[in-house]
Amino acid sequence: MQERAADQIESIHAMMSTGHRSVLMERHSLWLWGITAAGLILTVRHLFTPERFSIPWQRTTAANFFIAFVLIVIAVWDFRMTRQARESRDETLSFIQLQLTKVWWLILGLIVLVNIGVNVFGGGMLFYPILLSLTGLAFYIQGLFSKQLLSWAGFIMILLGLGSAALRLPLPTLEWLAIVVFGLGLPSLGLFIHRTQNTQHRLLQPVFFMAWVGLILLTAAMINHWNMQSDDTDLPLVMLNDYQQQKLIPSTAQIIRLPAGTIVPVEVNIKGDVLKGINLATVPLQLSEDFDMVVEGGKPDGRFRKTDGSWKQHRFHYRLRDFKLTSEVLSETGPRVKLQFYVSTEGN
Amino acid sequence: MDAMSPFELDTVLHQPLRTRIAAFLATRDEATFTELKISLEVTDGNLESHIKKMVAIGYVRTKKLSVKKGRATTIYSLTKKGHEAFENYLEALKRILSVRL
Repeated sequence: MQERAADQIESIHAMMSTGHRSVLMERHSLWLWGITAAGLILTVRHLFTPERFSIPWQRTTAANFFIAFVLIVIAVWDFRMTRQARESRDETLSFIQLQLTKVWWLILGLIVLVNIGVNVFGGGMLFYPILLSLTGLAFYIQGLFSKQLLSWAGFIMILLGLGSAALRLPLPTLEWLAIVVFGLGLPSLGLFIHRTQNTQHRLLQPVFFMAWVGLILLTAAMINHWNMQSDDTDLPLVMLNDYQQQKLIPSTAQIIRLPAGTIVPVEVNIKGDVLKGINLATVPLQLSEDFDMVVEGGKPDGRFRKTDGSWKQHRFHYRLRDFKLTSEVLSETGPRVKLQFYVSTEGN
Repeated sequence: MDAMSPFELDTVLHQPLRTRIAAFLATRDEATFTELKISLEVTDGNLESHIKKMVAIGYVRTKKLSVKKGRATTIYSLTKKGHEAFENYLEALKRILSVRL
């Protein structure tokens, strides 16, 4: 009698667990959302440029309306496709699934709000870590009521988000990491997610998961490496003095060497609601070592190297940090404001 | 009120497949025939005969959701009586084992 009762309780536990984890994430959802998110990251920056929208708040508003519109269209499309898929399989949208859909929509809304926030208040470097972490959280919650694989994927996304922030990865690297996670990671997850019904496939889950993590990290690392490398040693090297003696600025690219000790005047133009720029201030800064940069038509194209160093791209390595603004009012000097920051070419 | 002994088990629920049906519906709220069949890994005939018994005794209710392609989708869920019976059945099992779930 006791043995039979124990069997029954074990059977009840198993079914309750199955019942709780019965929310299926459709393959088309992973494809739709993954490709949409990757597409938005790739295109929004190029669509809403300062050239097209010169006023920042208008650019922010237009970009976020566009993002919200695309997300709403995809959300409705996904919901309809999911309902159709369930009907065709004679399945229902369970109560838990409807609640999870609300969680997803709330998190999507939160992501749009964070995007608006960083557009208005700054801190854009944190957007992608937050995006990955919030999406990871949504997947983790979904996985609690669905396939365990989704929770694992969510956990990895949270780790990637937090790790990329901790490592202070450059913005283009963060962008590509997010593009790879969404554009490649989610569709590839969709390929396997429904193949875990039988025991053989269930045993393969950890193997697939490791391969999935490897695929994301390797692809992101390869794209990043390909983006960062820059070998322009074939270009002609011109010393700054010789460059300045040219009557016409050449339209072709050339390497200009700025020797150590060169004075670089930095023009400072600061305005504010209680400040009025009387004169454009010029702060002279001196180079501490030789500095080569690729110049085309009188403008640097972003590639540079330091003494005997390798070529770098400024979007990966240039960073302003440690901003500090202090003010004092002394009897001798009157009001004085000090602005300090650190210019790094190491990307950290 | 039934005068059942503390160790007396509900004969309808004390059958492995019907126990699993009740446990699944108790957590899932509602399910179609196909969902039950896939989750419980049973044949159509086996599931149908057991669920009919549960409907007949009033533990499970059916609801026709919508008509698509000429056929209605039947949704199964536990009735209040079914929920109570399932809870009582669990309590009886716990008493037999003298352990907490």
